[in-house]
Amino acid sequence: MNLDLTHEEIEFSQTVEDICKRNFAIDQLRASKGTINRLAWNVLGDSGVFGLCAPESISGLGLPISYAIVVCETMGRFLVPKPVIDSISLAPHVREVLSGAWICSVTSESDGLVVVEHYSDIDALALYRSKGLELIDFADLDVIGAQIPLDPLCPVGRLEDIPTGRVICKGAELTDFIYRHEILRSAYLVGIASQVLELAVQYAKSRNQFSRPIGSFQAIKHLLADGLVRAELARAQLYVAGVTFDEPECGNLERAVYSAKLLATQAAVTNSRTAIQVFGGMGFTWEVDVHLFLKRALLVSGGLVSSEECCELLAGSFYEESLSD
Amino acid sequence: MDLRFSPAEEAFRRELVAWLSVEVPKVGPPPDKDDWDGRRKFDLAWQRRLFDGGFAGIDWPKDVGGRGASPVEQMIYLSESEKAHAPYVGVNFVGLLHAGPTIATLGTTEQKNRYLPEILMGNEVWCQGFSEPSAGSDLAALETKAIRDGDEYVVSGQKIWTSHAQVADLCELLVRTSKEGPKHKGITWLIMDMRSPGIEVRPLKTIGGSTEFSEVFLNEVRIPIENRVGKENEGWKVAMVTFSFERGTAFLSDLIRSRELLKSLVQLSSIPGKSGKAKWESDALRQQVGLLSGELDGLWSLTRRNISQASKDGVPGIGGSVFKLYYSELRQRISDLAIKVLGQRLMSYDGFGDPVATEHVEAYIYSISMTIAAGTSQVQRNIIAERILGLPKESL
Repeated sequence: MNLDLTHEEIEFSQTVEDICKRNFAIDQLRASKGTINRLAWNVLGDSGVFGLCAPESISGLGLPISYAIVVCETMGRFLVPKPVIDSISLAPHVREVLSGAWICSVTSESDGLVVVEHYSDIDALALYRSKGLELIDFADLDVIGAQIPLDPLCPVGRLEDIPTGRVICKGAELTDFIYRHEILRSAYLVGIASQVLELAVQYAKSRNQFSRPIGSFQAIKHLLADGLVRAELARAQLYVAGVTFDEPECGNLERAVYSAKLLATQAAVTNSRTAIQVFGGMGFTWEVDVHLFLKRALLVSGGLVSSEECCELLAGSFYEESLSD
Repeated sequence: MDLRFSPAEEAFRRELVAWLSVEVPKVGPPPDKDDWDGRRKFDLAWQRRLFDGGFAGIDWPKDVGGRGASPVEQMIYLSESEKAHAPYVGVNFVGLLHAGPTIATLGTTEQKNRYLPEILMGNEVWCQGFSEPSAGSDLAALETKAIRDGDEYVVSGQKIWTSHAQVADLCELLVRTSKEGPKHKGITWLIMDMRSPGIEVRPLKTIGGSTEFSEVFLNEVRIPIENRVGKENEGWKVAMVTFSFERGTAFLSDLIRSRELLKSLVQLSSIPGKSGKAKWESDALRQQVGLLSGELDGLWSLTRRNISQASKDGVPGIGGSVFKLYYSELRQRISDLAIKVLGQRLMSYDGFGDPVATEHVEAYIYSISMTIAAGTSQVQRNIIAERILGLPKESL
């Protein structure tokens, strides 16, 4: 039994981190106003990131999902545009995404609404429906853009009417896709949870009030300690979900994935709120970055399965488990 | 990353499961929780069975008679024992998990030979004399004083929260041997024979109505100097070694037990009430159960990750504080939910004749101690903030 990262995984994530530092620094992202920089995107593509989960037979890297997990954690830390998650999870099914030529975003219908992220940058939309995952060409999309998106770095619109696309996966492959996609969303959220905690800890060490760092006060310490616990719990569950995805006989994959998503969502959203609280008044300003993490956490925590659905699914499987004793 | 057991670990698991399936059915019904003589006898008898089966001191080094099991094997041992409904460690807790490992690490050869086999064979019970009325979270402030008189220490003072004191043969005792310098540099770790003259044990009644722990009054108790572990005034370092054994896998059985509790709660809530409707049909209840079960999954994963790190680094690490903090609060939230499911059955310890309800009433009261015992949640948060996040100490 081993839940530690290998040297290769750590090395790969460091390579990706260097790419992010150069191409997706927060000032660059803020300046882009939510437009995806195709040059930066291609640098990511050249590193092999998009093909991490795609089999070697279609020129992917065919690696264990743990690689994509550490990469998506880093993506969350840097707030790399969310289609990166979509690209890695779609690559086994869409050749143009694998190469980095296309940017796609994955979405689903909920409450009669289909929200399209980065609608002016995408080449196609992957729409999750119960009967299958459909790929809809950009030309067939009729998007009404939102005036003010919640996440200023992720323009969103809604579909006026929902066209029928080409089914790219269904059945067992679809289930596989959902699990992979939700695991990678969880990884991105764990990255957010750790990064906002780090920002808040650094601030608490350097900000002085009453002639001492605010981080010396227990009231602040305890908020931050809870943040660490949330992030570590979510990360442990994320890694277990990853191993179970690669080797389903090791556990209950459905439970592992939905627990990971639920805990990662809580960690990302709550830690972002904690960070804003620790930053005080400045935390409520546009210029401090933490609000960007909160808004991205809310965006990424949506996905194909909401927190409420995760809870309901977990409750159902737990009920079954309680009968079997 | 990998969740599978190695062939050696799997072989260990099979051997253990086979042994448990033969031995556990031989164990009689557990004694009443206030029958301390019965509890001592019951717990020691189980320890003797473990010894005879070659499973005593599972995590102890081989050279002192233990099994020298790896962290993963300890995890297997604890979870299989729980699954088989084997007896808990009970009154053997301090001997097996605190005093024994401490003596094995820092004791003299004579001390190892005298005390360790008796713990492993289930002959002697230990208790802990660390906390005092004025030294709780601030343990180093302890005042029980020990004065050297020839070859003996003469010890006077008061200890509190001493579990199993009524039935203990020996006590791991922290005393003050110096008032000079910093408070943690004047402490000494002693082994006290509980039959020595001058010891008075007064059981404390908990809010659960039972007597889980005691106050221990010491009036000029004479302890030979050969009962000292480590050097004089260096007992704080010894105590830190003692505490390091408490972290890591110590809460694993509790975690498995919590999952059982939540399952029984789900079963209880799915029985239709008067209106013909079961509480389980409530969306709000299912949402909460779903979340709690997901959090239990997370804690199990965290335990496996801690064990995986301990296997690599050889030490339990700080993951124990992270686990303990989340676990104790989660356990209370499970019991908070139980109150809603129990309804009026909460008002009687026997659940008005419902044994499942009884279990939840007791678990509710017990859960209240979990954020206090073994380091309060507030102390755990300080530890995490200062030692993991590197935040500055509070200025006084």
